[in-house]
Amino acid sequence: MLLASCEKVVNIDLNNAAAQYVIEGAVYEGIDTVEVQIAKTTDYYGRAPQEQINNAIVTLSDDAGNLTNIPFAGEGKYLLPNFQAFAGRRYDLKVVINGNEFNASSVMPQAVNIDSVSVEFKNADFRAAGYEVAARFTDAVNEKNFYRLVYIINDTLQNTPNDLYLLDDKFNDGKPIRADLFRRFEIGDKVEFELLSMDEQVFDFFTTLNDVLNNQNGPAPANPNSNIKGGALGYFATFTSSKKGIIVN
Amino acid sequence: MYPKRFLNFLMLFLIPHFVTAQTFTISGNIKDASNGEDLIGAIVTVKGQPNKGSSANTYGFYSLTLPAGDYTLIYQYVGYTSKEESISLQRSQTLNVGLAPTSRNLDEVVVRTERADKNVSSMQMSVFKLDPKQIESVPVLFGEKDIIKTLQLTPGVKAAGEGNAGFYVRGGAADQNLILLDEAPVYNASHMLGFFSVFNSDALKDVSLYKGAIPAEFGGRGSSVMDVKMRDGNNKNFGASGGIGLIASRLTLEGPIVKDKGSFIISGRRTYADLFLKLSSEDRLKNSKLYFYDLNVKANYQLGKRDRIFISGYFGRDVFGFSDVFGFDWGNATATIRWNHIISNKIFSNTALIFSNYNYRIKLQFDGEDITIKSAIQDWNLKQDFNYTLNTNNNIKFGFNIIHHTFKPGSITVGGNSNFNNQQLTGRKALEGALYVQNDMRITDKLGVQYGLRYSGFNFMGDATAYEFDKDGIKTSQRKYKEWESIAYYGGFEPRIAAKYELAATSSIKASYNRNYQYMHLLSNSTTSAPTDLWVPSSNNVKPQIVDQYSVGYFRNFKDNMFELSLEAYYKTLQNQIDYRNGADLIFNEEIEGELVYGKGKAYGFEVLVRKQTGRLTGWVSYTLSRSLRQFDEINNGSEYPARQDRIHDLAIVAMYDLTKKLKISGNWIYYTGSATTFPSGKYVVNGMQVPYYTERNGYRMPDYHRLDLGLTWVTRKTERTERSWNFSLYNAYGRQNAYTISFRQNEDNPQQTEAVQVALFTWVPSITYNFKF
Repeated sequence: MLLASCEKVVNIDLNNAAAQYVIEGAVYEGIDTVEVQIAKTTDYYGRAPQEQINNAIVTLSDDAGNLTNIPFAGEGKYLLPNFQAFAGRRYDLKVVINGNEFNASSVMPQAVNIDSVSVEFKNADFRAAGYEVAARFTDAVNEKNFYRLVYIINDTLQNTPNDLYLLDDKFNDGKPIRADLFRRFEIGDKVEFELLSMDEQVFDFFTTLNDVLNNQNGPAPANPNSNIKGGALGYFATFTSSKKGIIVN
Repeated sequence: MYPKRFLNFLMLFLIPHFVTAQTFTISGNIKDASNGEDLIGAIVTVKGQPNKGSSANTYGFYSLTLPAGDYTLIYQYVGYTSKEESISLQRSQTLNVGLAPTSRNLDEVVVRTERADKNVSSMQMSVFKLDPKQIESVPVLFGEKDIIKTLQLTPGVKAAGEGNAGFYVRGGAADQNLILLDEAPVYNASHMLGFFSVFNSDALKDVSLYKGAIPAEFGGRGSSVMDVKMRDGNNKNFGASGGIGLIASRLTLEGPIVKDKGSFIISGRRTYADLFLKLSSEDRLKNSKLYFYDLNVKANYQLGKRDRIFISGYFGRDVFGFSDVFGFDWGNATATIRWNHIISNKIFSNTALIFSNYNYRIKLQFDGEDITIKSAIQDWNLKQDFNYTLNTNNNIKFGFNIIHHTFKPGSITVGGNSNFNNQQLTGRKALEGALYVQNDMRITDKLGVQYGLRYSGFNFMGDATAYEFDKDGIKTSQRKYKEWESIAYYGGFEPRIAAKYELAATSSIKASYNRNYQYMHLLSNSTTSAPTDLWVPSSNNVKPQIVDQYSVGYFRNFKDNMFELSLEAYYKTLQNQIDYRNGADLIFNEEIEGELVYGKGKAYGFEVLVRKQTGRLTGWVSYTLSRSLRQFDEINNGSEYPARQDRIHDLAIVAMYDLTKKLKISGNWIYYTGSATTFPSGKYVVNGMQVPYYTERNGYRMPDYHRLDLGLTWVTRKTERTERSWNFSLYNAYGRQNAYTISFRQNEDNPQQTEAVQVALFTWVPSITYNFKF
């Protein structure tokens, strides 16, 4: 039944919709830089880089009454270095561009740490023989947890659409979780994991983003569910992060 | 003494005219004389009075009431030699008739059907009937004769696409088709993720697809009824038939239990793609499984003159297993017991008790885990149908139907020491019932009306937990209900009206209106039908779908019924249609009803069918021009948008030609405009990745689809009782890469660049099957 199917690039005529704002913002736990990027959509087949927005007013507040301005730092980026962020707090982002206002909220979850990184040798089956590397952590019990696993192999961040690795605890609340990378490594390979915890709305954004990138054959493709109100694409996330790495030997 | 004739003559004048003549009834069975199969729809008419007649019902029973007198009755069925019986009707009598099949003149295809002019004269419109024997030569994918795929070549019926056994009828959704096998509902009519259907046509006698003007005896789905009847089995002689093909093989055994009183038929089919896996040297592949099977069994027995019992069953399963790590199997099982009872010579009764089960099971064994996931839907169904042939102008049907549904949407069971948790989604139960009455009335020689009313009701009940949601789909409350405690009740009247007027002996116009309630809905995660698609009941959150359809048609036969032309137009409104919130989680979700949004739809179209039923060349040309639209407040900003199955043009040409007595060639050419689909109208970068930007829903079209299939049947041996033949087929003969999916993504080598990528499933697919019969 494994019939070869044919894949090829085709020319499809597409409309050019009016440009929309795209806002991407993230706050990490601890002392770190808050980064917000603002741009606009472009035509699908366009080769030019997207238009960056340099005249937005960006502010960050929290539910403890603090309010900070995030200054423009060039090329559509707004950076606030050395900002201390706390797990359990709700953070609100407000962006004003040319009279348009966009708001987003996110609650920073408690951290879940990587317990260890395991390495196991596997014989050849469908893949060549090699080492399987997995991040191991324990899910927090009696609460809904949402994770993204970011990984860097030999100092290169793996960031193609297929590398979007998302997990939740729907089927294994409170249990040890083994997040495997589904590929084989050799001796000397360096693998670094970062386990990000996020709230449910941000996870919803990433799973719907995954649908758009990797599963366009669901009931109907649609823009990812954004937690930004006001009509912009993108997301505003608060993350807690845990890092661990290993060199295969 | 006065001569008897004179006395009779005198009586005529002396007796007042208002005394009606006394009537008597002739009733009985019409069967195929060679094997005892009932001839559904065979007609009996009175010689010299062609408008006085009757036809045999689903079980071959007919009833004809006439005034006392002498008559010659003509029994007919196309493809069989007509029989005349002279009777003197002085009292009611039983007359069972067997018709002999016309000896197969190999120059001609013999189509077996009730009357040659039924396209014009029959009350029923919007129906397509298939004789499974007729489709033996229609070339299909992998050479497996497939009635669902053949029905997709007819007007108003659209294939959901390659790799998908679902179909859409007149703009309706894939779950709006009621598929019945000997009266038992079949929930998942496809194997191998949609490449094959569950029907082994060797076991089938008759397939009728009602696209509109659905008779009152059917209900439960909005758009169509596919009524599939199994053969009873030869009650005179034993026989075997079957075929060996590249992908699957089939075998049918039949014979008498007691000659002329009872018979049985057993029909099985299995694929064996996985036998090749056993040849692999790789251990994991060797232990893998990939097959499906179908088994149809049926037995019937005549107990005395008035009673007949039938027992039938269908068991089918798909099995997929990878080593001992992963196993996935799913399938239907149905069992039916039916009792025909002739209450009087005018009243026929059929009582049926039906059991139907569809389930799937997934097993995962890896890293010390042992996980089983299960889901099932199970029905117990009691049906009672009466057929009262009041007189030659009125044929009344009435009855009731009760179904008890049990839904077990999902359970996860894990072994000890597992890193996963046991889980169970709340079960659900429901009682679905209906009462109906319908009269088929002949008003004049030219005008006939079929009017009926069906009342259907649905009681959604416990033992279950029911949820309430706000308009954003967030749960607001939940409550546990006890067994049989009602959670929600819905019900309504479904009028069914049709009329026919014969303009001439060879042409007629027909019109119909019907309303259908649908209480069960199929939730699907993807565009390809999957075994894990979930049937859910109407509930405190989900309302029943209501479909109203109006249709009109003009029907004409040419050249002594050699050509049939039908032109039909329809308009359909659909209420309470279901769609999903963006990013809906349909997998193992206890609160799945919160992911649903509701709206309405409409569909309209114009269908043309030209069919040639006799001669060396047979086949049909089918063309449909249609639209199917939806409107949901939460989708597309509330603007109306085309449904996925909105395909403007749909054309199919099916031809079968007898080259010689032993060689027959056949071909199909299919063309349709692409389905409505959602493509991006821009892009942006997020998380370092190029992401397509979507605006309107289904604002684009997939590329047009067309392909040519060719087939050749070579009969190597044919006698009265045996037949051997080879069948060769080539699917997609000119190898067009028809788009299965089109995805938008960043170029692998150059991530700044974005492109559209098309995947096509099949180009040339040849197939060989060897068929035998003895």
